[in-house]
Amino acid sequence: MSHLPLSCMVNMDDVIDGICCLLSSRDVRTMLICGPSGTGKSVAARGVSRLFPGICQIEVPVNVTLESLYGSVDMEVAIGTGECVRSNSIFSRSNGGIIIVDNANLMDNGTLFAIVETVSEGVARAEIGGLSSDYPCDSRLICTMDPDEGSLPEHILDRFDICVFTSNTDSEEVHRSIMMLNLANERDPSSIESSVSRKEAVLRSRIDSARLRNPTVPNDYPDMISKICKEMHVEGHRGDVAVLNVAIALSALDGLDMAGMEQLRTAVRLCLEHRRKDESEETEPQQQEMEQEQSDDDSSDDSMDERRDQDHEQQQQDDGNEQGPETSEDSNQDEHPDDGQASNDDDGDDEDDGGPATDRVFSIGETFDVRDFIPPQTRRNRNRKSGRREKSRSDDGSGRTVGHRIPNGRVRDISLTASIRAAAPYQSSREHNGLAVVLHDDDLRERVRVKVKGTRILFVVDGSGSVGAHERMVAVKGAVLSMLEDAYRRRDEVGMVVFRGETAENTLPMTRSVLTAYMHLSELPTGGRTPLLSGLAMGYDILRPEADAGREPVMVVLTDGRGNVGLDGGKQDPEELKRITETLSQSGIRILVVDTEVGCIRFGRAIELSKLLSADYVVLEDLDARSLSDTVRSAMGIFEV
Amino acid sequence: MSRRVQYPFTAIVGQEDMKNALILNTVNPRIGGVLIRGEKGTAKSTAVRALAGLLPDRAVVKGCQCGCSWGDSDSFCPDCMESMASGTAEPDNMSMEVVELPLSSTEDRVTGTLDIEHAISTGKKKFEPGILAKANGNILYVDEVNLLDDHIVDLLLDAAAMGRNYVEREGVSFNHPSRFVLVGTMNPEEGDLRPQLLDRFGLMVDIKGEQDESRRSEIIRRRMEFERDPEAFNQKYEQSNMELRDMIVNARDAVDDIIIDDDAVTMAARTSIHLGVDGHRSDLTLIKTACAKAALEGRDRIDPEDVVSVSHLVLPHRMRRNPFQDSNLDITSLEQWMRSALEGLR
Repeated sequence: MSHLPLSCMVNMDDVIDGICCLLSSRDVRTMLICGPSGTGKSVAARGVSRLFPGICQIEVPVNVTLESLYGSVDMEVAIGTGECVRSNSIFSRSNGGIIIVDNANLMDNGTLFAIVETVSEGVARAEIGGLSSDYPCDSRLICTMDPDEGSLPEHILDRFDICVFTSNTDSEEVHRSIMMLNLANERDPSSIESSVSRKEAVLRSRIDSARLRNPTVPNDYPDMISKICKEMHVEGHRGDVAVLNVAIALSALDGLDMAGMEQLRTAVRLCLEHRRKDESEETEPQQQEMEQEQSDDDSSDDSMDERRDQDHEQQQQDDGNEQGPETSEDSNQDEHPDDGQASNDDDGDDEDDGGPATDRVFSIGETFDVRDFIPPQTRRNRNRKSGRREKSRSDDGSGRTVGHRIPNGRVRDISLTASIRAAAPYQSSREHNGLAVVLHDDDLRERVRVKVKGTRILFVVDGSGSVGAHERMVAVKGAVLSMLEDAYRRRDEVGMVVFRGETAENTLPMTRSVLTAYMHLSELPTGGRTPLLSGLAMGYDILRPEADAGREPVMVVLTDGRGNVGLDGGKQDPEELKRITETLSQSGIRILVVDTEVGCIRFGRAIELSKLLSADYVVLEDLDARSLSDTVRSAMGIFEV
Repeated sequence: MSRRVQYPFTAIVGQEDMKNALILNTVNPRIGGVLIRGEKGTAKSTAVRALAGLLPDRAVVKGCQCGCSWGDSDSFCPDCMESMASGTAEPDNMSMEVVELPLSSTEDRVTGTLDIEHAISTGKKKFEPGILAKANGNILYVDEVNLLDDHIVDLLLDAAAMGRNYVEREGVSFNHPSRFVLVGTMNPEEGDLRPQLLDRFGLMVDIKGEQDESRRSEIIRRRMEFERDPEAFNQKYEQSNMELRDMIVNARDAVDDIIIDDDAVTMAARTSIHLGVDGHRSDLTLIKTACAKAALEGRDRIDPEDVVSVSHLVLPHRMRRNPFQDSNLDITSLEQWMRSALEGLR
């Protein structure tokens, strides 16, 4: 089975445009394809080698080491002759070709950065593997990622000239044609050969002729670009340059002698989506402005925009629907299995107008909002890099090897291959005593490993009567659920403590099974007094071992802060409050207080509590508001700050 | 060393969905494997290991450590490319195997690495293939797949996406085909599976222990009989195993010629859109699975009805926009919806 031809791919206009730019322009080098699984990201990236059969295509696995990228001392030569010669590195092999990285977000960030930086600079420069590297690497880079599996830091994103998004489609025709194409290609590629080769030839000649073309840049181009970038809050100037280069490349592809307006519009879409800092509303006026300025409208591109707008509206409509009373959801249940869940959750409570938070959290689902609310690391540990979902250095011999180092003290996790390579150049001068390879102490190298660490998150939930009033519990459950969903994706461990009546209860011991957590949450009862202190104390007991190990667990306290029961079941004692909060604030546990208070008269106790705990503070509504305004971004795949 | 005698596949009582899912995958390996979710002691591992006895032969390049398929020269490993070019390559027949990926596997063992012994004794680099090479063309079985280390899962995802294993580390640069049928088992109580890995499984079955008393005692009786004399027990089921194997071999030959009714394609498209699943894997898997089923049953075409009849294997794990759903409940209402959609097509 050969790869699907790029030119026949359906619903992938942006991806194909981006790849064409990459192949035809000298100044467009790096591209990222984002999208849900099964939308053809990797297939598109591999289409290049079918389009240009001679091209050197190197697929870089996620566990690549820096030494393989830049090259290291060639062991065979070194042992034989004692000379240090660079082995055939990925960067030197790929010169003039194309590098593909699938699942780029699963790769070690430092390694990925090295690849993107090298390709965009066109030079491989490093001191690695016992060698100084400084040689040209005129390659192109295509990375793919599924945003559900994690995000990329901004400084890496910014180095991608182009970032395009593949999406799910609701078009039956598109689904059908993708199926037909795939089935035909799998069963009998020759059956579609003639139409494929015709289409491929057209695409190839489009790229080939664009390479020879050099469109001039209109005078007002720079002004327009800088204005757009400013309005979209693009940081730095890489975005500006990328837009310019891509617009020129697209114009060349369209056979123009002067860079056009339509092409600029497409370039903005290809280059700035991943760089914008703010919500998308800002771009609308600019787009309209440009539409007015341009005389000839490309209809296909218009329809693209229209489609996006529709998507946008659709989404807002959906939001609207979900905010409706529960009864309407029930009637929808059969049609929308997705929504059925949310109404199940409501069953535990008796409200019907509290739906919005629960439903919204569920149906929008991308729940990236949660990430912002994980408190930063405590000052004590800021340098330890053991934060949430960071790929952090691991010292216990587990995790993925990303490189080697000269050991500091006793060698624990020896890398035999790196040690042999380190010793290789000296073999000709060493006393062998019948050994093929002689290792000395200072040749020994140990592995550097990284590991993605999940975080332990404990939800301490106020289940007292005051939260039950005004149907707040629905919103609270919604908030917890959205965080649970996030934890599900990230393989965090979650647990839950509920305090109500006289005491606190650890309703959910730490688990990775979020399904179990959900079951417990939906059955969570509400009512009674507020033993806040018991809740905090129990949370502390549960998380203390983690905190003592320096792993900085997270405690999310959802309450209105109006505790009225002490540890002994009597009245809450201010001294006791002070003692417990002080202990917690110095424990190394990251704490977030989510204020659930509602109504005209507010006591503001939760914010006081957060100050006592030195915790981050957020009002429940803000969680919601954020997820709403992020709707568009999360649909596009949002990126971690 | 003699191979341990496996419990024969056809002697497994009940668990029809699981058995079907496994057989369908051997008919068309491109369905993409199966994830078996269920309680402990429900014959999950037994069934997968027993599958080995049913697997047909495949043509390989003789002596290739990566199990390169004879005739698929586009995807040869560098060694086979060389031997092919020099004309020394020869075909060989090997039976498909079940290759296990133990939970404790290290990265080096999974992807393969520098052959250290060779390096030390000769000073030359040589690639030592890992599990992904052994799995090529075979069934890759991961017991308790939800407990697999994250970075090993990443490697699996990579190889599954490309159908090829690329090794660029330890000074070794090597790549070889790695197309395998991924079979995983898990107990959902012990943690969830990453959504992306979930999507890589073509089919999923949820299984429970047998509830019927007489069947439960039948399971015990057969197990006792097997343990007393495995050889004799196997002989008793030799006949039925061979019959099943023949069915699979015939279906394999026929599966690519099954005529796909246009309405079946529409049905698959509508279902995926209705569910709002990610991407296009579900559509394709619906069709491929329906074809494999038709081939097994000796039919020469599929219609929308066939698509509906395999949906309970293809779709439950893809309805994952909301991970907290009770999938059994949903599949029932989904099948109802599909039935009504079926009426619409007529």
